[in-house]
Amino acid sequence: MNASTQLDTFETTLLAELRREVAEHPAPAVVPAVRRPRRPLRLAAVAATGVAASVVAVFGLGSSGGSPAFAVEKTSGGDVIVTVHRLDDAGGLEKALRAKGIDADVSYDADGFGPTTGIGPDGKPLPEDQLPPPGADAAGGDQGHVEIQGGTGPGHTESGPQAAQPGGGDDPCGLGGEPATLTQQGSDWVLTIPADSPLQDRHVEIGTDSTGALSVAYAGDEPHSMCGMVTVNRGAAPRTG
Amino acid sequence: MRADYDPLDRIGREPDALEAFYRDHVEAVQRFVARRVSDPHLAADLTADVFLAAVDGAATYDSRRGPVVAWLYGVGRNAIAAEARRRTRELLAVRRIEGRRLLDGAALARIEERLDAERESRRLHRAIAALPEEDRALLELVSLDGLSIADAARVLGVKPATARVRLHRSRARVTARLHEMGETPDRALPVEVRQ
Repeated sequence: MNASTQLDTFETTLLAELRREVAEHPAPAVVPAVRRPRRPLRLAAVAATGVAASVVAVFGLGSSGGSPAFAVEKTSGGDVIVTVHRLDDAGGLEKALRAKGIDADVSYDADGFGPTTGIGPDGKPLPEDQLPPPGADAAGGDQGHVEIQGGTGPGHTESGPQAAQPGGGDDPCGLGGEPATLTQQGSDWVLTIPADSPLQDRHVEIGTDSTGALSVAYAGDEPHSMCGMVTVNRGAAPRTG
Repeated sequence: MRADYDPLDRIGREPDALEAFYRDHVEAVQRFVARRVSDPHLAADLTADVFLAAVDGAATYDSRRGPVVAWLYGVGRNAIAAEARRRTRELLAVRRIEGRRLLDGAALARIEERLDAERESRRLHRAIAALPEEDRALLELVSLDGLSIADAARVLGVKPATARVRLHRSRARVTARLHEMGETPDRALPVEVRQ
């Protein structure tokens, strides 16, 4: 189809009406942020874990009922803090994140997604021999905390084969600094996305790898690069790399 | 994408950009609609609705997440769902542009031809209707509208791997349903999927 497509009378008049509509009611030249934070879903207000005095939290109860599977909080400073208690109610977490303006895809079905298995530039898992060394030997020490991000963390960089220099000390993700942190606190995972992080306006994938470890991935600024963070599986013995 | 309407949000402000976009997609949108409804007047209304929704929502298009046409089909799905809700509530909504008012005899005949051509697809659409909503939307976009799995997954906000699993499940169900309806599934369900 191209501009020479012959329009019939309906198509021509519809075009004329649409043109008039756009001319008379143009969209604002400065578009608002594409993913505007929607009104938060106010289910319960709690004092957060010593982060800020009054944050609004969204809980996911999950299908098993009982205790919440996760909590999503936005501090007064705009940081988004996600606490995952259980790998349950992925859909609820997606919704809760969306309510905070974060576009995320959450899946706990361990279908191979996740930086520990490695994501290629086409979004498919990398072959075994291209995988990064596993485990990153609990660099955080105390709480089994492993933090891997943007090549600046203590661990290794998780990125696609076309990303720049893994572990080279540069910023292969091109996002500057620390777009987010993922830590393990006791039996919970805590993902913090600072207010000024590019991830506030970028698609994020939260998933598990085949060992049940939680991972967070996002597209880097380098073409086809995937960047992310991973924790070791709290249930499994730490792997040595 | 043609430079005439790149970036896409121009179609919300510039009539010429809108026109280029419209000419490129008017046939695809009308076929998309014809695969779903059989009334020519409603089809005309919905075509207008889809383009208005596209104009209003052009700023939400993110080229990193797939081609324009996939995004446009997502817009189309929402416009048709909104129409279904209107009908359910029996609200007489005032349309900004009432497509059917723009029809004359010849244009009506062309819409009817298109509806005829998509008759088979509508039958499939009915066979799909029994699926859960999420599965249905996915199968429609892939099997009826010809999107790749990856693009359809993006439209619906699910991962390609998840989409593949759902498609596999849905196909089995629809095939069984088509058998019940006396259809030949291989002909009616063009599902083998492009990547």
